[in-house]
Amino acid sequence: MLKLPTYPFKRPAELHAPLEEPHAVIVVGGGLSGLTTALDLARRGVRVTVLDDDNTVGVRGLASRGMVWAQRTLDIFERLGVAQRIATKSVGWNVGRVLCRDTPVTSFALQEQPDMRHNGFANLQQYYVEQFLVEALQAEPLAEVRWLNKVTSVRQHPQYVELDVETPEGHYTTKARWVLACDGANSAVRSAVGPEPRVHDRTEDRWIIIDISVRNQQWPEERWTWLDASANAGRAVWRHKMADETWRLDFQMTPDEDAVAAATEPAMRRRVRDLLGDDVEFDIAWSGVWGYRHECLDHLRTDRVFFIGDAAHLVAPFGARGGNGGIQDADNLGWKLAMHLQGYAAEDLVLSYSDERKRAAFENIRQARRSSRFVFPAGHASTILWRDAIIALAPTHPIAARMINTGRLCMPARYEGSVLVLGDHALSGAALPNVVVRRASEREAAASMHQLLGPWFTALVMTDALPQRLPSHPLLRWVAVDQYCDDEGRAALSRQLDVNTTDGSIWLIRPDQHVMAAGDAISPDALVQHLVNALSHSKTESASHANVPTTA
Amino acid sequence: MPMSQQQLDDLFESLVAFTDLPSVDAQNARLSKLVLLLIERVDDASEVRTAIEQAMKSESRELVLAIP
Repeated sequence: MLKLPTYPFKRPAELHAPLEEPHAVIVVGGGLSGLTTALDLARRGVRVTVLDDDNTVGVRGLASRGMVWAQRTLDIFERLGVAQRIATKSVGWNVGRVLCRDTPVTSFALQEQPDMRHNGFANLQQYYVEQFLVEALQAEPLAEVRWLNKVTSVRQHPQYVELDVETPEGHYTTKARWVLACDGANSAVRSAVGPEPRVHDRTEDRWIIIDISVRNQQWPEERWTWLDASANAGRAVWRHKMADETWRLDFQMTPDEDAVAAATEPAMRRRVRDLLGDDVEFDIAWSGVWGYRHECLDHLRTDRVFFIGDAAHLVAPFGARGGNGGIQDADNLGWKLAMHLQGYAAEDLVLSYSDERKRAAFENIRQARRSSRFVFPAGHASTILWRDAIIALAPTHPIAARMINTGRLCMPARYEGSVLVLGDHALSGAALPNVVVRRASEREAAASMHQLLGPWFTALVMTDALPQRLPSHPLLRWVAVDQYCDDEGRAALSRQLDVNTTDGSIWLIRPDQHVMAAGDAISPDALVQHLVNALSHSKTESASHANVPTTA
Repeated sequence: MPMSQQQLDDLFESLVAFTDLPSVDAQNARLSKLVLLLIERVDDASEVRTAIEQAMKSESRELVLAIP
């Protein structure tokens, strides 16, 4: 059985002498979102220190935890240099099946995406992803990960944040200009600083996860969802394949089920065999019982502390929106904080993180609430009325099958309404699709849209050669797109972006690959002016909790 | 043009809200009106009869007209 890596404790400098200058950034929590943010910052030239109270990766041992990585996440990981390792280790899948009354009633094939750089989804246990991120961070000279460093208190000052830290060799006090709270759902930093998340709902629905290593069976690499499995007392089950021939099984528990009894080895084995058959030989890699709730902070920042990932918002796992959302948080904050710390942008740019990512969190919560209520109507008569009708008609009526909602899979956030977005192009605020613009040949390597982007802002001009006179900006790269395309790439861009690579339109792309502005109505001068404004703007907009539909 | 997944999900929310009433009688009254309005929009007796048959398909008994 796989063993998690362990990392050594190293005496921090503050145990020898007090710090003279605050750290630029301290990340509290070496999990998925913390490691991703730290890696992004280090690669953007910011010195970053990660404090983690453990000495390994993963959550509660070998828990698979987040294990479905969306295309957008793979694009982000490619920018950070870890996508290849994840792609190599992970299990790709494009087919999901839903079973009602033990009969397959519908399946969906995530569209095969030859136009895109990455597959729709990849399945991999979270501890592997975290291990790859740690190893990437260890190669960054500007990054320091301090294992077995537990933050015990946090004090905010006007110019810095002070933290008390407990280690195996004593306590120390340190300080940082910015602290990123990436310490999970029960964030100690959040408790110390003060903001309480607003709970949208908390249900009595409980699940038991059983990760099994299968020794004698080969099943298709598909996601199967039983909505009401007879083998699980008429309740839902998920089955996903992950790396190492390990399968993730999520069993919905009955309301009166005893969690301790359900988690005993004999009970778990019986449960698995009831579902998969007596002839399956397997080891239990990990198990755990969980419930879910949906919550979000009113503001994802309190003075000099930012909240990222589960410390900022929680969603039920229907749709894989937790881990993928945390990584998009990191993607959103990293470049803004780096630009501010390096003197390229006003503090307002950093503050836009809260508005943009809170909107994204609301959308994730909205979608997850809908899915979780379909799976667990909790006695809500009107939902049960329609749910029963849908299940009855689903085997014979595609429209009903499409209305079965066991989780709408995570899509990239779109920052509509952000002060950083200019114009109303269909893709304004969206993540730029990573379309393959050139296939590999004997003469040239393959290329995709994201590979054309510079480290900061990029103006993609749909032309074969740039005009001679273009306004310049130190953080902006101008790129003539057509020169990088082959005919297949041009056709793919037409299909995916509805763009002709010689139509002269300009697309302004942010450092996190989101579209700031696009279209042929934007002049180069206006585009550069928008960029200047964005880096110095003093307006922020606030998403309101009132915008969250009450779907419970 | 086929409905998008988002449109279907939004419709489901509307339906749940539409029948979210304290009594079954009130629920039935709303559903009856909805069916009549959809019939008006479909404007095709044969299509509606087919839908009625399909809705009853899982039931063992057949539709019996009180006054043929």
